[in-house]
Amino acid sequence: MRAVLVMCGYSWIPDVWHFRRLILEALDGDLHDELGFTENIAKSNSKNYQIWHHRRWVAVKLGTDATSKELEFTKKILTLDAKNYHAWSHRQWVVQALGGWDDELHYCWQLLEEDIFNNSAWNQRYFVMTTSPPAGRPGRYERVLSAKNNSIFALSTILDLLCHGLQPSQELRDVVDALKASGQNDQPDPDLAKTVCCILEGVDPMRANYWKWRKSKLMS
Amino acid sequence: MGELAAEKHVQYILSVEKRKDDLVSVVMEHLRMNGAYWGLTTLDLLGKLDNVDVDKVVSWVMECQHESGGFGGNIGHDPHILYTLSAVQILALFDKLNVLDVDKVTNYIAGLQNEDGSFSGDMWGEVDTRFSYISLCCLSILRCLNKINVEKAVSYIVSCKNLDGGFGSTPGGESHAGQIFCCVGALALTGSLHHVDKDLLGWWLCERQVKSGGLNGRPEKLPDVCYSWWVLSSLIMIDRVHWINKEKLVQFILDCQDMENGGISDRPDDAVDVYHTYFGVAGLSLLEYPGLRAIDPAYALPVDVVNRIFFGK
Repeated sequence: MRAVLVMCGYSWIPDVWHFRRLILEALDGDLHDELGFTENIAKSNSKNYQIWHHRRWVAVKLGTDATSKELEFTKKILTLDAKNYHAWSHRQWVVQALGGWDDELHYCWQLLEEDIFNNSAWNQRYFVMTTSPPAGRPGRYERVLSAKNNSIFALSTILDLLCHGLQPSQELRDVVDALKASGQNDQPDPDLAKTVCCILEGVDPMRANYWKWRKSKLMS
Repeated sequence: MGELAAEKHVQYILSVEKRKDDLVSVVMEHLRMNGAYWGLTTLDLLGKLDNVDVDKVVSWVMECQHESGGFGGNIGHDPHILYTLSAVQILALFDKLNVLDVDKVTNYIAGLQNEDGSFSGDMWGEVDTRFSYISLCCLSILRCLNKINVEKAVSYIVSCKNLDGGFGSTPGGESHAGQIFCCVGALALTGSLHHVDKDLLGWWLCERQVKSGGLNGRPEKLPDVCYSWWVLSSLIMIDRVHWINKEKLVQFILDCQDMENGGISDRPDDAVDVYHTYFGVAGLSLLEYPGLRAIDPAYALPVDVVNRIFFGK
């Protein structure tokens, strides 16, 4: 089949991809191989609509077998172009349709550390906060907070979630309380968001005024 | 300030239309219908559409129609909503919409609407707000909006609205000027602009203007002449175009011209193409550059053509 479909030189032509899908279905082609095939073409044609659509078609057929491959693939493309719209669009589809949310916020943060102005990464962060299954969200932050690196980012994300209506688990409360600086009020504040703001004032002193303002908004 | 090399651009477009065998034409063969729309509309804006053989163009367009009612990018190519709109727009330019079997075309488009109100591009099911705009624009031109569920189409577009006031390709997708044009255009065509936060979106859009005067499509990206259309038409539709510096944008577009051979490129000193030539001239028309016919920001057709569709000759 590969000998018949020598189409690398014609990847911009939609009809070629249509034809390829028809053949794959008729001959029950190996779809894992197909992912590898499209990856090679996509690397030099990462803004080609046809390739991304074809990739999604293959991933739909493979289902959750394709999840980690798709996330890895989009990461590779984003390494070459961190704002590639197709890659981000595909990644959003993958996590919604196939799962794999766990690492997403951490990945966004890595990209923001490389380029704080990466608007796509900021958009993805908001997308995860508002679209990922609610049950899974706090667990991710507890892990990041416990690791004590990137705690500013994790705390600010938890603050946003609390403002969005997240009901914190006891586990999350305990992890946040453990981050309070010594000297801070040892009585747990029923309003976890206020506690988070106080902690942030301490660990992110550059933006102390901003965290004070956030705290004042909580009380209004 | 530089000048618009109108005659050079006319010659450039006519030369592209004649070329079929060189490398660029072969690579672009599958989207010739889009290219024809870009070239012909530019000629019309420059007042030079009569340089073209109407009958030849119309009969080529109709040869691209598939039995499903949709149009392909060229003869023998599979149908897609992208080329269907361009085909209808080309026929509108020449006042030849009467050659169409309207039911056939509109049924093809209506068949692409999904349960959630979104539209697919073709039988393979890709969904994107581009296709929502295309469907609504096409059906509006053919006076057949009643064939689809407009309310659901609008609510799908609204579901693609982001916190920054912009719109993406699907719900959750990053705001992008091209997608914003499609969503704002679709809302304008269906009388639904009240869903747009005009101040918020107006700010996002005018923030696209960079130091050189050009416009980019997303924060921290390079300017590109095509955004002179996507951003500008959006600003006009929401009545906030006075928030950008028009003179600087005009200068940026003029700087993207090839003054010797004609044509306009994405940014100064790059290679020209028909796509950027159209968007540069269309952008200048929106900026009321002298000597150009007016263009409608929602239909992306000359105002005279739109008036003829809705109000007769």
